[in-house]
Amino acid sequence: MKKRKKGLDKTDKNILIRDILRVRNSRKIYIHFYLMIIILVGVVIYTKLSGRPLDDAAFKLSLAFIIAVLIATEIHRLGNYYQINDDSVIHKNGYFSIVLKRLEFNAISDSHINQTLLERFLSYGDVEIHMFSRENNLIIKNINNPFKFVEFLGSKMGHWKTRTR
Amino acid sequence: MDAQIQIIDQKRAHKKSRIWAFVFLVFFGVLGFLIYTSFYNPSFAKSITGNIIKDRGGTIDIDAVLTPSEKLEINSKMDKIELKISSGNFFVGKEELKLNKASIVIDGFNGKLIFNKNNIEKLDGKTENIFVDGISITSSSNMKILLEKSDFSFLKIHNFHLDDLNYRTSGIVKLNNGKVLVNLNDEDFKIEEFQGDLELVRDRFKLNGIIKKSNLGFIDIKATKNIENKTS
Repeated sequence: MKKRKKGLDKTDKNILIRDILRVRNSRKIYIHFYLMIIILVGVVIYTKLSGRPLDDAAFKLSLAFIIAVLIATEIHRLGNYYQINDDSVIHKNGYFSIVLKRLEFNAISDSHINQTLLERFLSYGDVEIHMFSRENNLIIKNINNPFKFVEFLGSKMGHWKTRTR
Repeated sequence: MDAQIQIIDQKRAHKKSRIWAFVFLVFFGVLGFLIYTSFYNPSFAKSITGNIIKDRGGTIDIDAVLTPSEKLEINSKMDKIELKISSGNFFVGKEELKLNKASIVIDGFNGKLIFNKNNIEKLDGKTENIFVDGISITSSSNMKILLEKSDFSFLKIHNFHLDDLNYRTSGIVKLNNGKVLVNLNDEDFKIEEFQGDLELVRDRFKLNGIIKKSNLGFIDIKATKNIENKTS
């Protein structure tokens, strides 16, 4: 008898049905903020290495800015959450007042990907999921590998159709 | 419906651009402050935040006339050094000056000074200006100078920092403008974080400035605020 391979077998219907994809916004959208941090850290290191006096207040101010930017970007990123499960796409937004949007597969007509040149270069982008009604689209913003996301959504919808037939 | 969505999108874009503008402003402010205080004007931040040395509210004023210590080593920036030497070889950059009974004034000195009551063991560092008998011998703004083993009759150092000084001595110490007066008679004299002037003429060792902590004989006094090393 042939031994079963470990891990996910894409041909196994049951595993695919149980498979859920969860994504958050990519950190790559904060590249400008990270660049600011790198510049500040660079200036501090250069000042130290060149033996110049590093003002305590300026150093503390830079540190506060770096920490504030890191915390703010993480808070912003964790506020959005997208999930593809067996029969729907879910978007959860917010911390205290939460907006939860659920799109059943039977309401989805098609999807497309939006990527600028920089986004393409860094491999992230938006996925726009259209509904038959065309009134209320779901835009999955700034996620890593949008093509894989759409591919996964397509395969999930295919399985869903097979199950509901 | 489309018009409504468009208005909401415009408002969001407007809010986003405001946040961007705010973060950019803060970033350039912090970066500018960092570069300016590190590369152009290191004392700028202190002039904004308030120079603690000028704020004498939380420090102890000291005015002491004592017998000098066996040996004293200062490693700090000094605003000015006034010196009267009887003889010595004075190196300014690569040039050597043979001095005999000369008066030296050194402005903006940064380095090491080791001395006892009548001899300069070593004066080694960089300076902005030097005057020998009133004549400027400055060739560049940051000159290296060296003076070793030279007898002196007068030494005055303006505005320097000393981490601590601890020796047995005799003399009078006035704290906080004479509110506390201590008469030492071969007793321990200990001060920490001194910032101010020093004068040494023969057996008269004079200190005038502020300190963080003192231990005079059996009296301990501690300031409520820390003194920042303004000169280093």
